[in-house]
Parts: sequence; structure tokens; C-alpha cells
Amino acid sequence: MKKAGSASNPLWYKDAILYELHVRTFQDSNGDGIGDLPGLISRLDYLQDLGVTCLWLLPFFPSPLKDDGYDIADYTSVNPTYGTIDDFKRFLGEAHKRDMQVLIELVINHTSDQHPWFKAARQAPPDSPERDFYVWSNTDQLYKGVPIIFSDTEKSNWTWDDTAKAFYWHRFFSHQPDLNFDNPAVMDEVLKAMRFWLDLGVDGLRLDAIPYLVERDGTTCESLPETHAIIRRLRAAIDAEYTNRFTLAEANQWPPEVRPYFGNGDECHMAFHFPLMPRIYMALRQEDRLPITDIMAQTPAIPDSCQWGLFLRNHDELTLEMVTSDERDYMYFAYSADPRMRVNSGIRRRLAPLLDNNRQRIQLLNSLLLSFPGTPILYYGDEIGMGDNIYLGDRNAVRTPMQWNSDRNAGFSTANPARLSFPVVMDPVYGYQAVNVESELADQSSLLHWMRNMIALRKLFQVFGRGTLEFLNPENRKILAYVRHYDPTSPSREATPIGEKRNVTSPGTETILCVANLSRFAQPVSLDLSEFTGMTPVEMLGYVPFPRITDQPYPLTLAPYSFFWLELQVTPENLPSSQ
Amino acid sequence: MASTPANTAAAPVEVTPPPEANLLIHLSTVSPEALEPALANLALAFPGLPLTVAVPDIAPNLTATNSFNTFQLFPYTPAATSTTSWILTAADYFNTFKLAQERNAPACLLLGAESHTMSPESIRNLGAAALSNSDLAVAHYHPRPHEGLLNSAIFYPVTRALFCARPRFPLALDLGLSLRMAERLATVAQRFTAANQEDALIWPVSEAAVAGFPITEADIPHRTAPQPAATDLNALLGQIAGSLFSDVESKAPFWQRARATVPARTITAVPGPTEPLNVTSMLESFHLAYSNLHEIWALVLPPHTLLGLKRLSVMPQEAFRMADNLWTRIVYDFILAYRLRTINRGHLLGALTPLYLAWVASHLILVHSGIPAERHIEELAIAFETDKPYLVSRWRWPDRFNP
Amino acid sequence: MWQQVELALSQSAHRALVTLANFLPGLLALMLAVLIMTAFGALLAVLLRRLLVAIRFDERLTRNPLISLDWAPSHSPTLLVTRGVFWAHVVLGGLIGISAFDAAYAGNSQMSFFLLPYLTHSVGAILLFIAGTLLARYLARTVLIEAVNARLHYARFLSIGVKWLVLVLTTAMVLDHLEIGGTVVDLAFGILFGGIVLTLALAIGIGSRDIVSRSLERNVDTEVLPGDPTYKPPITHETLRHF
Repeated sequence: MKKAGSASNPLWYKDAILYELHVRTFQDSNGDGIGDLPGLISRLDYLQDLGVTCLWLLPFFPSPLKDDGYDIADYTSVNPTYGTIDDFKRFLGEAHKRDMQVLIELVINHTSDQHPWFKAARQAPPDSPERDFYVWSNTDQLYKGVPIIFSDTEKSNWTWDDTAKAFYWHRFFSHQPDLNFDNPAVMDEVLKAMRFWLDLGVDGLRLDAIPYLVERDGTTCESLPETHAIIRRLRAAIDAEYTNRFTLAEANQWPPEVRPYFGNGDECHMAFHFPLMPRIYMALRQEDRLPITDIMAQTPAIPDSCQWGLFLRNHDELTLEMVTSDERDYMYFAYSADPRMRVNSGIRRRLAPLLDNNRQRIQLLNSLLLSFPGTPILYYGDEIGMGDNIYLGDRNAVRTPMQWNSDRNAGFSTANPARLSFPVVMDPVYGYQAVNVESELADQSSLLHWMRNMIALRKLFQVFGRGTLEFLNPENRKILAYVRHYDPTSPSREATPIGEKRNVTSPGTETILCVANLSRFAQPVSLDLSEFTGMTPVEMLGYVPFPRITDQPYPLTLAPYSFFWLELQVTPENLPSSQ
Repeated sequence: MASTPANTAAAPVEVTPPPEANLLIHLSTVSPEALEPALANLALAFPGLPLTVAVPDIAPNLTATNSFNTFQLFPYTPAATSTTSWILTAADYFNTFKLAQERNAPACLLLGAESHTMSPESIRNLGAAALSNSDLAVAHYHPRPHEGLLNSAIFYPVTRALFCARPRFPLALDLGLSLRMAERLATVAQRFTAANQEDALIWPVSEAAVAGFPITEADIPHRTAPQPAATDLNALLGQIAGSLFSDVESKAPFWQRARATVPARTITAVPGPTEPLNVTSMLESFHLAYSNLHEIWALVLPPHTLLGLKRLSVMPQEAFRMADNLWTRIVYDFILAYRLRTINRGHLLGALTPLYLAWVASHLILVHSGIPAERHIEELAIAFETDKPYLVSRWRWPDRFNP
Repeated sequence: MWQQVELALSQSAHRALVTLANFLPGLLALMLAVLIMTAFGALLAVLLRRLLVAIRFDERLTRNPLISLDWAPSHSPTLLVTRGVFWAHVVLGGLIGISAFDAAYAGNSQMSFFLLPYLTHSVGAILLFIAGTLLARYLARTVLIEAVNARLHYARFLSIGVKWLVLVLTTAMVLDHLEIGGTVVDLAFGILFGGIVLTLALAIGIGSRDIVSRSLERNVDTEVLPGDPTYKPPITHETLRHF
């Protein structure tokens, strides 16, 4: 029986606010120290209150958990420590009732070596159908020169298997063998797994590690045309059998190389904008807008039905792959003085510690996240300013339990503290006694309240998710100023004219001027707003009108790390212009 | 000593000071055998004038008569020899002023070690400058590119940028002081001598700038510089740079106000360098320090500077060039760290030494390629002036989350 | 029979009350001793601070050439001395209180007999350990900077070695002070110590080859060789004058 997703609009993901969380570390209901689905259900009210509209769950399938769930041992079931499939159905129902959609992972590039397919494959004789589920070779010289992703742990993309007496291919950890997509049976199984979850009513699928599906000798085994063919097949199946679902591609590439993952609107609906994220931090530290404007200039236009996914932090390290080596060195010096904070050419710290727990910086970056073109993705805990624990291994520094209150185990679990899957953060600055949901709900000036208000503000306008973006270029490089414009009557984003020709005054259009100060000192700026002469900027949070725009440069002064969102409204004719 | 011609702001040259001038001359750190030549030199510089000369009481046969030529000699007991006896110390200033006040002299000359190597004309110039309208006359030497490097790297640019004072040699060995300048310096010196620190360093140029007294320079083309008592660069830099940084910290209210910048000097052409270049040991020191002291530097320097140092550490010798603004930022950040006591001050200055050696190597390579040394120093001083807002802003807001 | 039970109960209750009655004065004596000594110590600290500030203790110390350390205003010697005096009084109060407690509590507890000397020893041991750790860190950094400026190639190794040397020494002294282990501990630390010293000597020796060879060359140059017509002294480069 196919259940529908809860979204009503095929492009709902353009207006969504995504919230990334892990069932394991969100809320524990049965006191075993591990988060579970019933616990998550009990916290749905908090999430609805926060204002997020789509929940992204990290993998909760049965798994030996050597890669925090991304090594999957069964695609169509739920890990018993998190709950049962009925718990999941109940969760889905409760989320949909609160008008929240659910995005889950579809990790099809690889499985765990404990998956029955792999266990059968290593026993099966070579060239048998079971064997062919994975990529085997007698030597490790095939696909030579392909870079290793987890360079800190793995030394090669091939690992010898004694039972099978052959090498198997794995782009990630050695316990995650890659599936062989040249085998049509693999595709059938993948489609079966996909249909299982979509039938339950899941609204979205995140395609993890999607560039690495297919391997061909003599290439880098990334983003091959065969891979895109597979994505198109998946998309076709979704479009044919389901409505209002979306797919999100995880492709850590330069923007022009991510563009193919949207196809002509016939591949993935959304993709992460990986290169923008480190540049936001770089621009902030260098107090210069150039890194941001540069990467946005290199970002190609995407089909109208497609959308970028923007994020400040996620469950992985702050990846520095898509930057130059000088920029990588700068980021290391600037943000990770302690070598323990680095892993796999990235920095494993949360948002608040990266910004030295400075409230103004956190708010500034969140304002960029919520006003740039794309769908914002919040990482759990960043809305209260959670800290990290760099003494935990791998990327677990940013995967500590959610801090709900100042009780035992931060209210996450009633278990013996020694039983927790990861210890709660308890240092004097970010510890759960100081940073938790309960205290921030009680404090009207807290970061949590600020995030709620900003998210609510963003949901009032469609321009942020659907509009165009132009940068203004004031002389002061420490100011990042840009105009977001949305005209619902124009047929497509590309067809929307820019500059003087566009229609900014008719009802229904939304035009927002965003000005951000990247510097730690107050800055003056003069903006050229001659295109909007005669309009009145109205500051959006307080609904305060600013001086009317003339054809002269418009001066503004900004406090350290502050930002303005100014809605450009048509000045009512009967009001005197000196208002 | 061969001179490298470089244009300076020379004081107006008078042939002889007016006969009614009553100048006090203070000779510091004279070795016994150099005393008579020094006095003879003075006699040549001021023929026939009845001046007062204070000499250290080390050659009793000479000073017993209390007169030499037309001069009146006043012996004083020099302080016990210490590591800074080769430059002017607090005790020198203090003694000078005491004597000048007793003798009612309107101006004094302080001459440092090896003063007998100066030409009489230079001494006369200095005397004339001291008696003119300026309160402080600083000697301007003509060193060769291999000399006076610490001064070129740190003292001159910092003093010029922060105090807007022109003298090329803030810690000159030979000074001309008016009576009120001497009084001011003696007050500062007294704080040190009272605390039993006879050999502390005083920075007369910054004192004059704070008091608003006019400063001039007197050209002294020929002079042998004395050998420092301590041959360890680390100790030398620690002591003198440490004294400068403390001075900067104590005068913060003065240099944090905007002031007119100093007009640039004009540099005349110089002959090319004749000596071969030997910077390998300095580069080696820098590379060794880069691998070992990086953690200490990371506590003091911001990421942008660390990136610059990283690029510097992989440069080959031929292309080794420390950019002016990189050195500027390094010095300013070390001054800040000195004030904030980020790490122990002795350790901080010890960590500065390899960076200074890297600058020296870069400077010498540049000079060897044909650029006049003085032009590079002038550009460096201008870079310090341009970047002064950085120091002021970080002084007032020492947050470490900065480029 | 009920009378027997009643008697037994009343007797044991009486005994318990007597023990408590003996216990309470001791406890009170302990609390009083601590409080009185703390108050006394605070008063003394205030007076001492006034006195030291009046005689300008800090400035006298800076004059003394032996002490070359410098300090931040919040950690000046005056404050350290006064704080030390205050806490010494608190600790003394505790010790007096414990012995008073024991005297008042005329039980067969031998507790304070063992506790007192062990307490003083452990306080001393803790102080030793703290001092040793601070000294180790300070020395390690000093050695690192000096070695780098002297262009020794094993500078970092030397600095780590010195730090561990001081830490090992401190631990040995602490354990010895607490009288734990005895000769076995002494022997083990002796061997460890000797090993570290040997390694450091090797590091200095190997790392300072350049310094040694440089000084040897210098000595050779100053000697006058017997008239060898083909011998030419090496070209001396222009020496750098940093000042």
C-alpha cells in the first residue's frame, strides 16, 4: 500500500528548512544510552516549535556501526537499538501530522561487509550472480591512481579478502565494499529498497556518495556518464510512481562538476553546495567578501526545478577538499590550531567552537545561511550553540548527544553515564549545564529564540528559496551586500531579467537587500541602489522603515558582525518622502 | 671606515659655536688608553673654549690635574661594567644632568664609547646642533649595509611609525641635549637608578617626541662602532628589543593619537656591494626555528602571517624575500604579545630572533641584487607607518579572531 | 523477660548516647580550630599585605639581580606571600582541629596518629609535584628557544628530554617523600634518569657537531702554520654587525 508524502507542492523542497539529526544521539527513551525512534517522536514538538519543515535522518538501518550507520547490513529494516519498523511508521505519521517532511538516506554506493549480499558474494564462486554484486579483482592494479577518500585510515581502495581469494573495491572504509552497478540485479535491488521506503511515505532520499557508483579503468571513477544514467533511472522510477518526493545528491565537487547531477531536471532535485561552505568561514576570518563572491560567480545556473542545499556544518568534518592548498593552510592556521582537530583534510569542529563561541559571528553566519539562494540545512545542536569533543575519534567530535536540559546526561538519556554511546559535552563553556534547550527556551535573548524568529521570518517570504541573487560591489571589501529578487510571474529563474529591466514594483514580487559586515569592527558603506530609486527599505525583523532610496549612493553603517535584511517596498504615494 | 653616502637631514653646519657657549661634554665608557686621544680630539673640535668635560675616573694621572688644555675635567666613578656599558645607560643621563645643573650649562653633549674615532668637525656639528633651537640632536651615522641591522629592522621603523620621529638611529651613541631635555631624561633615568638598575636603557627620541621637543640630526660620517660586550645575539636582542617594547607600552597614550607622518628621505645612488654574500647560516637558523618553534609563533602571530612564514620556509635562497608588510605585522604582533604577556617575555624575544635573522638574510640578498640598502629601509619604514592602524586596532581590541 | 529486653535496650541506647556525647565535643573542637585559625590567618594576611605594600616589597625584589623572573600584576610576590600565609593558617587550623578531635574523642581510634604525619607528607608531596610540573614546563620552553637559537638540530628532542627529566626527578622525590616503594622505586628512577641523561648527551653531541667544528676551525685559523707557501687563509666574509 503506497502512502503519500505529506508535501502538497512538487517544489516544496525549495521552501523547506532542513534539519539534520541522528536518531542515535537525539533522544533516548528506553534508558540504554542510545537514542531511538520513540525518543525522537517525543521531541517532534520541539522541532515543530523551532520551525524546521523537513527532518533529515542519518542512517538508522541495521549495521555493525563501524561508520556510524553508513555501513548498511539490511536496506529495508530498522536497527533494533533504534526501534522497529513500526516505530518508524509511527514517527513518519507524527512528523507528517505536524506538517514536517522526512528525508532519509539511500546509501547505494556500498554496503557493510556484514550484509547478506556480501557474505554470499565472498562465498560464491567467481562470475556467479551473487559474486557479481560487488567489484572484485585478482590484482589491486585495476583503477590505478584513484584518490583515497579516508586518507587517514585507509591505504588503498582495494582490500584482499581471504574467503573470496580476491581483492574487492571500496572507495570508503575497507569494511564498506562497493556495489557493482554494472550488474542489473544490483539496480533491481536498489530500486526495491527505494520503493520500500517511498511506499511508507518517506518524502525524500539523500543519495550518499553518489559520484562513486560506477568504476571504469583509466578514469578517476567519479561522475562517470554511467553513473548519471543510473541516477536518471532512479529519478524516472520516482517520477512514475510517486508524487512530491525529492532526491538530494551528496557530490563533493566544484560547482560546474555538480551541475551534471541535476541533469536537465531529470536527475537529482537538489545537491549540496560544498565549496561555498569553507569559503564562508574564510571570508569571515579574512574579513573580505572575495571568497564568497568568487565561488558564487563560479556557480552555474541550474534547472528551474532544482535547488542547491546550503549548510554551515554537518555530521562530517568541515571538508577542505574544494579549496586551493594555500587556502587549506590558511584554514588550518585560522580554525584548527590543535592538530587533533583535523581529520581527512578537514576540520572536525562544530559551528560554535569554530567561531570562538561569539554570538554575533554565529548569528552572522546563520543569516548568510538563511538568505543565500538555496535550501538551508541546520545541523542538530547548532541552533543552541552546542560544542564539540575533539578527544573522540574520527568524526565523532561533532556527534555528541543533544543537550536538552541540565539534568543527568543532559536529559538525553536516563542511563548510567558510562553507558552513553558518546559522552555528553561537559566543559565549562559548552557543557550541558550551560548550553541546553531548556535554559535557552527560558531565556528570551538566547540563540535558540533568535533562530526560531529568523526561521519564521524566512518562511514568510519565498524569495530566499526561489529568487535570484546579485552581488553589489561596494568599495569596502568587508561588506557583503546582495539583492534577492523573486517574481512569481516570470516563467523561470533564468528568464527573470536582472538590473534595470526587471519588475520590482508589481505586487507579488519580493525584493530583499541583504547587507552583512564581515569585520569585527564597525564599518561604513555606500551602496549603489539607483535601480531601486524611490523605494523604501524596511528592516525585516523590526519592520522599521529606512530612509528612501535616491539615485545617490546609499550610506549605511554596520556594527561589528551585524547584518541588515531590508525589504525594498514601494513607497506609498501619499506619504511624505521624508518619512 | 669607508662610508656609504646616504642623504640625511643634516643640522645647519656652523663653523664654530659662539664663544659664550658653555657646553658640557660627557664622555662615557672610555678605556684608559683612549682617554687622552679623546680629550685631544675634543680640543681640536672646540679650540680655545673653556668647556667642562666629565670623564670616567679611570686614568688618575690625567684627571688629577682636573684640567686639560682649556677644559675643566670632572671625573666621575663609572658604574661597574655590565653588558650595556658600550651604549648610553641611565646612569650616564643622570650624571650628565646633575653636572649640567651644577655648572649651569645650557646644553650637553653625550659621547659614547670610541668617541676618539670621530672627526673634530662631526663633534662640532653635534655641539652646534645641541646649542640650536632643537632640544635633542641625534647623531646620524653612515653605516655600511652589513652594519646597524637591528636598528634598521626594528628600532628605526618602530620609532618612526609610532612616535613620528625622524632620527635614523634612535639609540645613537652620541647625543646633544638641551638642559630641559637632559632634565627630562634624568627624571626617567632616576626611576631606574633608584631601583638599582644603573644600566637600563632609555630611548631619548621617544621621550622628546612625547614632550613635544624638536629633534634634529647631526651628520657623523666617520665613526668606529664599539663592540658589544655580549656577543650572543639572543641576549642582545632580548635586552634592547625588550626595553623598546616596554617603552612603547608605557607611552601608549601618546602614539595612539593620529599624528602627521614623517616626510620621506631622499636616497642617493650608492655603489654596488663588493663583499660576497653569506646568508646560509641565517637561513638555516630560520628553517630550524620554523620546524621547532612553530607552536610558539602560532600563539603570537595570526593565520595570515603564519601562511606567509610557511611560504617563506619553502623559498629557495635566490628567491628568498621577506615582504615588508610581513615583517611589519610580525614586529607589531610581537609588541602586542609583549604587552599582553601571552607567553613569558624572555621566551617571546627568544622566539623573535630567528624571524629577525630571516629578515636580515632577505635584506642582504636584496642589497646584493643591487637595491640600495637605505631605499629598502625607507620603504620598510613607510610600510610600518601605513600599517600603524593595525597595531592601534589590535591594541585596543586584542581579540585573536583576526586575519 | 521483658525487663531484660528493656534493660538491654536502655543500656545500648545509653552507650550510643555516651559515644555521641564524646564525639560531639571533638567535632566542635575541630570546627572551632579551623574557623579560628582561618580568621586569624585572614587578619594576618591583610596586615602582612599592608606591610609589604608599604615597604614596596615588589620593587625591592626587582632590584635584586638574582631574581630575573617577571610577573603579571595579579601574581606579584606580595600577593603570593599573603595568599600563602592565609592558606598556611587554614591548613594549620585543620591539623590542630584533627589532633583536638582525637584528644577529645577518647576512643580507641588510632586514626589521627596515622593521619597526621601522612597528611603533612601528602601536602608536601602535592606541593612538590606542582612545583616540579611548573618548572618542567618553563625549562622545556627555555631550552627549546635557546637550542633553536644556538642552531642545535635536536632542539625539540632536547626540550622534551629536559621536561621529562625534571618530571621524573619530581616524581621520584614525591614518592620518596611519601615513603612509597622504598629502594625499588629509587633504583627504577635511577635507571630511568640515567637513561634520559645519556640520550640527552648523545643528542647534544650529535646535534652540535656544527658548533664544535666551527669552533675548531676558528682555533685552526688563529694558529700560525709553519711557512707553507701554498697555504692561504680562507677568505673572511664581511662580518655582520647587528648593532
